[in-house]
Amino acid sequence: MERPQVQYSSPPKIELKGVSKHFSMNGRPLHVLEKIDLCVGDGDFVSIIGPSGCGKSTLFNIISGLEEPTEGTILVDGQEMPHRLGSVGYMPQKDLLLPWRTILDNAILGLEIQGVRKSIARKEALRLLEEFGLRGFETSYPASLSGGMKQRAALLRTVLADKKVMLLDEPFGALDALTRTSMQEWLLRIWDVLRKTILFITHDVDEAVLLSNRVYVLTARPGRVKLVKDIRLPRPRTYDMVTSAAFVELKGELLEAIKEERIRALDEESLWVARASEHGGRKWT
Amino acid sequence: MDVNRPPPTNSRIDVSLGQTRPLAMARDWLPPAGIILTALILWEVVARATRVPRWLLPTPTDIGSAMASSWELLLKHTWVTFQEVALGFAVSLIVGIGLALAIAYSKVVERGMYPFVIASQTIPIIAIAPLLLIWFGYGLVPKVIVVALICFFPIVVNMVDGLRSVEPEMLNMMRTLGAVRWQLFTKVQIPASLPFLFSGTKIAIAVSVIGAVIGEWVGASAGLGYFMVRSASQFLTARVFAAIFILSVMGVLLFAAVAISERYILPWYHTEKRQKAMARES
Ligand SMILES: Nc1ncnc2c1ncn2[C@@H]1O[C@H](COP(=O)(O)OP(=O)(O)OP(=O)(O)O)[C@@H](O)[C@H]1O
Ligand SMILES: [Mg+2]
Repeated sequence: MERPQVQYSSPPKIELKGVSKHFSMNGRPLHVLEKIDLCVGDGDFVSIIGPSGCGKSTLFNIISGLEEPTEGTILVDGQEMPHRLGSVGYMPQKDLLLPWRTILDNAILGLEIQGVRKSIARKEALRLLEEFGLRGFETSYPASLSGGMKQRAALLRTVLADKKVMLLDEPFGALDALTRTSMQEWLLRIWDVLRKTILFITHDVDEAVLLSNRVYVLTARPGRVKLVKDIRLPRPRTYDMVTSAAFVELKGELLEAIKEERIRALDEESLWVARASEHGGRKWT
Repeated sequence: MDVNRPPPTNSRIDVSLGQTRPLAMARDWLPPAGIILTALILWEVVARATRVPRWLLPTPTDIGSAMASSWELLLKHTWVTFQEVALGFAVSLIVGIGLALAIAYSKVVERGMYPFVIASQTIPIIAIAPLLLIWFGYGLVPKVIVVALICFFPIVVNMVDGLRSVEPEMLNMMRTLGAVRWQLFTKVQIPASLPFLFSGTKIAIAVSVIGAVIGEWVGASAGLGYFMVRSASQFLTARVFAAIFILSVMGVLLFAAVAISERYILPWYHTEKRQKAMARES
C-alpha cells in the first residue's frame, strides 16, 4: 500500500480519522466502513473509487452530517463540527428533483432555503443554464427531462447552493460520453475559478485520474482505504491527456487495485450464495 | 408485430397534442354516450312493449316531459341542493385540510385526533341526521353539516397519507441544503400531498350529493331530496326519476370540475401522469 506524503497547507479542509460505520441488518451487524482515514486540502479535488456497496455514499452521508459515524471523528477546518448539516454541498446519487418544481425552481432550492429572494436566485440560475445544457428547459418539469438532464439539474442545484465544499456522488453517471467530457471540463473550470473543494465519487477511472489531485481506492465491504494515489499530472488538464504515458501508467495502477477488489467482492457474494443454499435456501443466520 | 420497429421517440415535447385532441375526446366520450343512448332506447322499447303502468316505471320520454313541464320547480330545488353541497363541501375542505396538516405536523395532535376522525365514520349519518334536525331545524345548516361530515373523511385520510408519502431521501437532500422542519413541511411535504388531496377530494365530491339528499330526506322544505319524497308520495314517478337524473348530472359535473382544477393547479402531476400513460401504451 502506498501512502504518499502530500504537503498540505494547515489545516486540511476536511479530515476523517478512523471513521467506521456499522449498520444492523436483520439484527446482524453490517460493517460498511472500517477505519477510514481521509484528508482533503482546501481547494483540493479528491476522488473515491470502490466496488458497489462498499460504502461510498455512506461516507458522503457522514461527511455531510446526515449520519454520524459509529467510530472516529470528522474535522472540518481542523475542528469537529457536530452540526455540519447544511454546511457542505452534497449532490446525492439520485437526482431527487422535486417533481412539482420547474427545472429553474429546483435549481434555486438551496438559495431559497438560505433566504435569497426568488427573483434574484432565478437570475443567477438562468446565467448558468446554458452551460448546463438546460437552456429552454427552465420551465419544464423533471418528469419531461432525460436522465442526463435531470442529473445536470441536480448538479446545478448543488453548485448554486454555493458551499466551499462539494460532495459529488457519481454526478456524471447517467451522461453520454460527449456531454460527460464537456461537464468534466466545466467542473474543472469552476473548481479552478471558484476555488471549491471537491470530493468526487466515480466508477470511471479515466474520470478520476483526469480530474483529481488524488484518488482513494476503497476495498469491498467493509470499505477500507486500499490505495491512495497522488495524480501529479500538469494542470490545466484536457481530455487529450488520457492517451499520455503518465496517464496510462496511473490508470493501470488504479485499475489493478480495483480489479482485485471487484474479484474479492464477487467471491464473497458467491460464497454467500453457496452458504445460503447449503442451509436449504432458508434465511441464512 | 414488427419487432424491429424503433421504440417510440422520447421527444417529450408533445407536438402531436394539438392534432390528436378532438380524436382523443371522441375516444373518451363516445363509449359512455353510446352506452347511455342504447340503455335509454332499450328502456323506452321494453317499457312500452310490456305495458308496465306509467306510475310504476315511466319511460325516458315521460321523464323528459316531466322535466319540461316542471322545470321551474326543478330549478328551484336544484339550486337549494347545490347550495347545500357546495357549502358542505367547502367546509369539509377547509376543516379536512387543516386537520390533516395538524395531524401530520404534530404527533400529539395525531394521537389525540386521528381516533376521532376514524370514529366519526363509524356513526351512521342516518342516525345523526334527525338529531341535527332537532338542533338546527329544517333549514340549510343541518344539510351542510351532513355533507361536510361525509366529505371530510376521505379528504383528511388521503391528505395525511400524502403528507407522509415523501421519500426520506428527498427530505435528507433538503436537509443538506440547510432546510429546517417547517421548510421541509412547506416546500416538500405539502406539495407532495396535493395529488393525494385531489384523490380524496374526488371521492368526497362524488358522495357529497348523497349527503345532501339524505339530509333532505330526514326533514326539509326544499331541495331535490325533498322534491323526490313529495313526488313519490303522490306516485309522480317520472318526477322522481327527473330528480335522480339531475342529481347524477350534478355529481358528474362537480367531479369534472375537481378533475379539471387538478389539471390547472397541478400541471406537473398532469405531465407525469401523461408520461406514465404513454409508457404503458407503448
Ligand atoms: N441506513 C442504512 N441501514 C442499513 N444499511 C445501510 C444503510 N445505508 C446503507 N446501508 C448499506 O451499506 C452498504 C453500503 O451502501 P452505500 O450506498 O454506501 O454503497 P456505495 O458504495 O455507495 O454503492 P454504489 O456504488 O452502488 O452506490 C450497502 O450494503 C447498504 O445496504
Ligand atoms: Mg452509492
